[in-house]
Amino acid sequence: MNSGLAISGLHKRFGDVRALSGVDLHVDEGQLIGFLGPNGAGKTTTMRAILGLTSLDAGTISWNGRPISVDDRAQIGYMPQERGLYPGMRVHEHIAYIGRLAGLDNAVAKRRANEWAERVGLDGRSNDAIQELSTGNQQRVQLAVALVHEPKLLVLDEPFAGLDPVAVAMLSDVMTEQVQKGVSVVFSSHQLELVQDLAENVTIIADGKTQASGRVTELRAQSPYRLLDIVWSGPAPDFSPIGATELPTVHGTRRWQLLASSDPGSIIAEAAQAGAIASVSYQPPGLEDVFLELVSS
Amino acid sequence: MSGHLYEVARREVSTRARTKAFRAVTLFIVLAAVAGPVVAALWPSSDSGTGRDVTIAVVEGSAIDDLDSAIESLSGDRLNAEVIVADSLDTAEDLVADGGADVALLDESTLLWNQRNDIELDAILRGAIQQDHVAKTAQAQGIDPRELARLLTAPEVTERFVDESDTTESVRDGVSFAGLFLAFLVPQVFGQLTLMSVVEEKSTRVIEVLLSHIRPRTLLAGKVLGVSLLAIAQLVLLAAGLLISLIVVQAIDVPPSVWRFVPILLISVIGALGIYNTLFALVGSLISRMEDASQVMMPVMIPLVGGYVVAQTSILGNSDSLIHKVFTFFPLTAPMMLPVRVAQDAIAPWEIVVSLGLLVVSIVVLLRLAGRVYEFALLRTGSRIGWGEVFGRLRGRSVD
Repeated sequence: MNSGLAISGLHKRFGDVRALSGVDLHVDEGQLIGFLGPNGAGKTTTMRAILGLTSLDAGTISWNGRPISVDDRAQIGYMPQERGLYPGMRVHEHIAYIGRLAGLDNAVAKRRANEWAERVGLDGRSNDAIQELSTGNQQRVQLAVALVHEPKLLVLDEPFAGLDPVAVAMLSDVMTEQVQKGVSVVFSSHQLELVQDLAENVTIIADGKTQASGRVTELRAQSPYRLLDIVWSGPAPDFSPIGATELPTVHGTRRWQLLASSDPGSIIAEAAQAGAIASVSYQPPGLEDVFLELVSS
Repeated sequence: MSGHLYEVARREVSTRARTKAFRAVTLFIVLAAVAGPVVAALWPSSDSGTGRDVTIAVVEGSAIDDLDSAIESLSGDRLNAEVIVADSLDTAEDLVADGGADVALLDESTLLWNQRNDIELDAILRGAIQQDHVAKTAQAQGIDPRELARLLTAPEVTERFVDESDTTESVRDGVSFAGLFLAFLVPQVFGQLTLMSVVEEKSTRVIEVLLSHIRPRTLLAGKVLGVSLLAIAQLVLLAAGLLISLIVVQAIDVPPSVWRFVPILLISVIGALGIYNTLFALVGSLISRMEDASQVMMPVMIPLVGGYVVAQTSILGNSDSLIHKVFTFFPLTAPMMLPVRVAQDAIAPWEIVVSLGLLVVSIVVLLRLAGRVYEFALLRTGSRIGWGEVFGRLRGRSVD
């Protein structure tokens, strides 16, 4: 039996706007997936569809091999893109309230609310009203709300947006902990370096359709391009290898984009003849470049 | 489902009841309920027992014996008589002429008025003169004063009325107006509170988190229940304060017939809360900003205000006309029309049953319809959702 979340062929129109036109996404049990796409690609609509907040014109959403049910959805922790909290409620009350709606009894919900408030760094602010918190701290509350009922699937829409580095580190730790506990996590983000560090697997969508899906390393390897970085010991010589496109120099490192089929050895040898090389790097493009290639095509 | 309903209602009650505005209004209501009868009891009026002030000039040497006591025994507490002595007929006449006295007793059988007599005071003074004359005559004939008093003691007179409507009409109308105002004001105030709560959930996007755990119609029903419970709690406090104050002060003698309408009024207000809170929640789901509230509230306010106006005409005039009957059965106006007609004793029992039955059925149907609107409207932000789309959706036509 397939475990985890499986989304296949999602289609959705809003009037004349085609929001989804073939989204596929698979998240195994205990897997962390980065769900990437430009603005308006359909990420939020897909996530809402997982939660049952958006009806679908076509497509299937399955959980552990069968169509996702209301009970399954009760096991999802959701952090919407636009933070959804009651401004007048106190932090611990809000977390406990959502916990009770998710099926926890009152005592457990209260205990978990205090535990999660502490875990996300709000233990001293538990009695404060949400509206008294900074935007970043409100996002911490939102994370606690998503986790209070110990979900089996976490759906996080732009969870890192607006967070300071300390909060980013905390959130990354929490997500990793959850994955280690066997929770499936799907999150969207435009911070692709962060995604590359955090997620082994990504799904990239554009124009409402899945463009690529798989391990980050494999997607990078599938790129038809490679990046060659060279730093010379002395001043950089006048060097222009044939068949390579030079990219902007970054901190003294000159960079060329080559076709993956090119022979880097001959170019590096040619560069060594031009001057003494201090360091050289040859690698597939980063996730950001892969992303740009896919969405622009 | 019931757990979610309870949780949503509980949150509405706890968060709203905690606000300073709600606490201040509740405190004001209780204080007003307690203070009302106290103020009424302390306020001087013609019926309050303090009596009307009158001044009687008596020419020196012409006074009848113990005029003060005679007037007091004859007038009861209707008059506060002050007796002043005039040293001559001219002085007495001057006092009456310039308003220093209402009447002058010139001798033992002559009253001097300015232009016209005061009928009540005239009757009382004539009685006093007569009593004085009888007493003096009896004394001259050697009759024992105690025997005379026994002979003159009259049985206590009680009064009955074939038509008591005049005596209860003012109280009945007052209670009708108060009840009508309550049935008009309460759903309006708490309905708008419901609308604000819905818009808050939409504008803050907390609705997305909520709907990932509960069904829209459960959220709607819980919200209506919670806000209604808040209103009922305030009403109970109002009633308790009023009742305790009335019992303690014993200020107003409420005819028993008026109390017949109290349970109907309570049921009507609860019904009004059910139907109007649902409607306000429905229209609230169509907007994302409070600035748009006045536009969507208009269709809800029309029957509310219409019912209030027509019910007022029922108190002031005929309660049994066609429009009053129609408004009694129309669920959006019934909560105002029904208690008024009951208070006016202008409604048949079957009309009460049918009216309340229609109200209950309407609330159930409306909750279901509003739940369907809620399902598609709550996650829609931006511009207001038009009524055309709402009716299209309710007819099952997709307008995505």
